[in-house]
Amino acid sequence: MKYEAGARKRGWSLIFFFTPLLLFTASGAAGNRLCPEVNGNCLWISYGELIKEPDGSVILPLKINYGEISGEPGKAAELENVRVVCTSGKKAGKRNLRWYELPAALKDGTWQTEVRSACNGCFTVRAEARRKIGNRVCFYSAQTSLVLFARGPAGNKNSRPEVPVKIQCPLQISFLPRFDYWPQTGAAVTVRVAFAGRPVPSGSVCVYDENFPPAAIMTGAKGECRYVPADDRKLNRKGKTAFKHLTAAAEYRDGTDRYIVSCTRILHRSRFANRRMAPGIMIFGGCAAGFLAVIIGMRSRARI
Amino acid sequence: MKLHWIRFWVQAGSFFLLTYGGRLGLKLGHCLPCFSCPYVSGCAGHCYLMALQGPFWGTQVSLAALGEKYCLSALGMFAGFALLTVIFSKTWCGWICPFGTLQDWIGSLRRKLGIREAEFSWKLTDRLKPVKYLLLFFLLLIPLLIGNAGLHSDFELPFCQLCPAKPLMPVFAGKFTYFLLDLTNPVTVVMGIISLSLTAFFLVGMFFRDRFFCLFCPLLALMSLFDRVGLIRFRKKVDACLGCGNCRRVCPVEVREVHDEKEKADVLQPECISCFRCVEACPQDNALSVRWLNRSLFSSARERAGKLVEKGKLP
Repeated sequence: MKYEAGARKRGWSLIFFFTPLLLFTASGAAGNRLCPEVNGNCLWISYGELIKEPDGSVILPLKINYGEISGEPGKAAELENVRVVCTSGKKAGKRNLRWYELPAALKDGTWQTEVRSACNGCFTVRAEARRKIGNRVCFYSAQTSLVLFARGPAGNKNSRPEVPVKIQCPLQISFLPRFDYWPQTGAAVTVRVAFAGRPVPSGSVCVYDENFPPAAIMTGAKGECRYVPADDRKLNRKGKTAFKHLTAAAEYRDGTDRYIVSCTRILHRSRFANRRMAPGIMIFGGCAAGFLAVIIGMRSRARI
Repeated sequence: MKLHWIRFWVQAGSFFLLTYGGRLGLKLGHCLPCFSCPYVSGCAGHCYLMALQGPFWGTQVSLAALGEKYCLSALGMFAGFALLTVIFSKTWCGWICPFGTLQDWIGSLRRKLGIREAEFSWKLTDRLKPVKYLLLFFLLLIPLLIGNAGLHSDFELPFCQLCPAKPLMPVFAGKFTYFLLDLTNPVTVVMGIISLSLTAFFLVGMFFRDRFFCLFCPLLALMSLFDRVGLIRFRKKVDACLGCGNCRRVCPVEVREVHDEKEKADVLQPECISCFRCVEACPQDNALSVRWLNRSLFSSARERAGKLVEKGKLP
């Protein structure tokens, strides 16, 4: 492919948006360094409310946002070749996958699509677009991997026409583990950046953890970096199923071409981070001792 | 073999199967009419109360969703529960329930230590009777409020959150997690404090009083709906009764009606846990009998009761 050839000739001329502090791990609470690279527009996916259909199948609406992740929205109508593709199965995200196209529509200034499922399944959704700025072309890509649980009509499998889709943007960013049944704060995630299938070492990844300032992390030799989403009090106050978005973004320049990619996953509040043994045992033990004392007291009074 | 020994071994076997059976591949579903706690990792089946409160087969659902496929699956689960209840009636409580077995073992420990049982007045026992129905009502109402009135979802599975079986039963699977206090938000803190206080209350209560938790059990209240159609019948020959009062004295849940009944032959009461200790203690041949599908399973016998008196187990 053209971009692969170009990449070999020119070598890795990796320039990320902003020079981050050299950190291989970071946490949301500590990540108060701003990432001015966000000033550039980016494409990223956000989740809507899951819709349960009467027949047991589910629909997850997805918004493909364009603009600064934690700033001003861009003009989505200026994007060209907007396309949303999806692949299912746990191996999703690997190379040579069979993708199928999802219909996407521009509504209220945002591209929107939806993933439907009639049975339990893992899906990877990828949105791609490009924009010409003078002689330069900017490729955008946003990706998310999700698990849907559905109980459609018996024996109903997700059948979709698979079409050979050529992925426009060679730069890939993804979270590992790719699929997580219940992603939650406090559980470490690995962000991997690859260009044309090769890991991108010493690059900068910007992590946008909702309710926290963005954090910049450097990738290691394997093109991976680790991020531990901090405990989030705002999220804790909401219900068990409430979630927030965690988005990682990176940029790569290859000659005149520019690639800006993001990947998003949802995070629920931590199930176990706030459980404490000492107060629990004190309450249990104290109450048990209290009730025991009351009963013994009542019995001794009865004897008198 | 004596009835109480048969019961002891059935209870021990059920406890083992329901608590560890999942590890052996046994899966009995989500509609068991006993406290086979779903929080025990590796349990063989789940207590129906969890399904009843939950979002999949229970009342935590938007009213708009009623009439859809959801409703059918919820009804299917209830039908499963109803079928199991009709077949075995309340022997689930007296012979199978692992939490009931735990209570019996704690009671045995008290007897071994020579500590006498706490006695409740009839008035107090009568006052406690409606509590289980009240719990059942809230157990159905709170999930409905979560699904329709925007009640905080941390109230989800309200009875399971407060049930003493939740912290106590997982201990047998080596899990002490539910003794931890969840400080995530004010709702979890309050529910955690109530849960741990209630667990302490019931644990102490279970030690001093036989089957203390069964006095408040909402599952028992739900199962009493099927008393009249249950295949297990508990009969009394009114004219054969001597009125000795043994049945009342040995009853762990203070059912007086078996003794007091002077007309009806069917003496299965809503509070009865079908342990049939009363049948074993009755000194009159065939005055009390247990029948399944109209076949006699066992009945009272003078000789059996006499042996219990000899051993000092009956006055």
